[in-house]
Amino acid sequence: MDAQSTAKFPNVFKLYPVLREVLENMEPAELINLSFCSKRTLNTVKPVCTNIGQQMEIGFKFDDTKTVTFACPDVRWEASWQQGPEVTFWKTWRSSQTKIEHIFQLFNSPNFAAKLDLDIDPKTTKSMIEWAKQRETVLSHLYYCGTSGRQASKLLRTFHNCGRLSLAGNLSQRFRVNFPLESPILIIHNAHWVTMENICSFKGQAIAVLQSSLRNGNLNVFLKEWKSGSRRVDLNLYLMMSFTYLDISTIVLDIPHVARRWIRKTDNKETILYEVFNDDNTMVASMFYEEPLFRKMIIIFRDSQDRL
Amino acid sequence: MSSTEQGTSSAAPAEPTTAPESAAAPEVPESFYYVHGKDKVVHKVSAGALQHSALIHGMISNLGYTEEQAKANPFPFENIDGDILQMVVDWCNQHKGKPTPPEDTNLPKQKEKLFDLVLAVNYLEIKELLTYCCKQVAMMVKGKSPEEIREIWMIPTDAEDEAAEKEAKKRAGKEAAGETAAAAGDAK
Repeated sequence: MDAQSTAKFPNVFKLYPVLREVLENMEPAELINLSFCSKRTLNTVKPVCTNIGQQMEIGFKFDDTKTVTFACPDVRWEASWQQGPEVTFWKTWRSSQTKIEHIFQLFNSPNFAAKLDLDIDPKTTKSMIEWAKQRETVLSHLYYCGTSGRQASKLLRTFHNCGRLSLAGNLSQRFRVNFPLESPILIIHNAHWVTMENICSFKGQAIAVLQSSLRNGNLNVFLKEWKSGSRRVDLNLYLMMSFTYLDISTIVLDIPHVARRWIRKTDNKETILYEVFNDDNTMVASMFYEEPLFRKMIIIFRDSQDRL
Repeated sequence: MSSTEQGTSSAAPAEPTTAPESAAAPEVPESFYYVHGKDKVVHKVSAGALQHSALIHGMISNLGYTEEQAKANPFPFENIDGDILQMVVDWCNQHKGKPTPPEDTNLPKQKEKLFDLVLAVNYLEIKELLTYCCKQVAMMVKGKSPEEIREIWMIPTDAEDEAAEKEAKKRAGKEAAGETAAAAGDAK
């Protein structure tokens, strides 16, 4: 343990049990910073990072702060870097790309979510969309938090293979988009523009229509039409909705053959399950509340005798 | 705390001073062993304190030394600096027969000393102390940038790593050539 042997890269890191113990005591943000030191440290840190979180989020907050954030909600950690106001969006994006690729490589997570901010200059926007499109297969969730209707439409058309697509921004009252849309899972916040027609023609597995402008009456009419066979919707479509005065008992008020029973959900909480049946006892829909954060309703459209 | 004394040579270790005494003396007389580091200073440590070290514990449980034999044959740890061994012995004495606390704040703040302590503790297989030391090493870079981490942990750049690798290859090549020449000479 002479002084010379510790002049560069201390011998402590050449001992695997020591190295492992040190790395396991480090926060992910420090592990990322360590991995940036050299190729060797990247390879050293990689096995530890791949075990950290199964789901990761990368966020671009391109306001004055120009912040790029990596977060792992499972283990509640976050690493971010910022650029000063004098740096352009384009430069921020270009310089971030290398870092992002490095972190992708480091964590090798099967589940990456990206929050894109596209209310910026066209050149940067185009590049970000191209980047996300190239990684569509590894992006499990793509968010658009901006307010541009043009960008929202573009994302809906471009990322139909992305596992989940979220529109989180407040789009203008005039915003409309042509359905059918093919995203497997589509989550729309501030969904004032989504109509029952849109929901009917959705071709994916699940759609969340949150803060909708629809009302109990719209759902009541829709259910009656679905029951009578005059409307079509994809069977087993999982529809999540929230709107003002949402009330399932009002929705099913004058619909015959509605059964109510208590069920225990996966979070171990109890709720009433409403099941709507046809005259021949086949089930056409089941509905229940999902309460965390705010009241939402889940409807699953069926055409069978299956019960949840 | 163990008391120490400067030794004269590794073959004839200096007579150690009095053994560390705990406040409550054990009913059964405790056995003691002797260790010294690079500086040849001999430390008298109780078997109870030495139980922290899996390496020494394994050695003494196989030896069955008498007090006299133990005194005459101190365990030499020539790869450990005297002051570092002193720290280790102190820690073992302080935590003799006690459950180890979740944190240890008495570790050296100076990084070279801490790194040397880690190497010694890893060699002596003192698991709890190694855990504290590694936590302390990890804490050194908390909130630091890559450049700061590189400086604190003395991490070489890619260019330095490549140069070192080239140098190692060159050295290995030379050594291989030397061995071949020697073998050819032997054959003649």
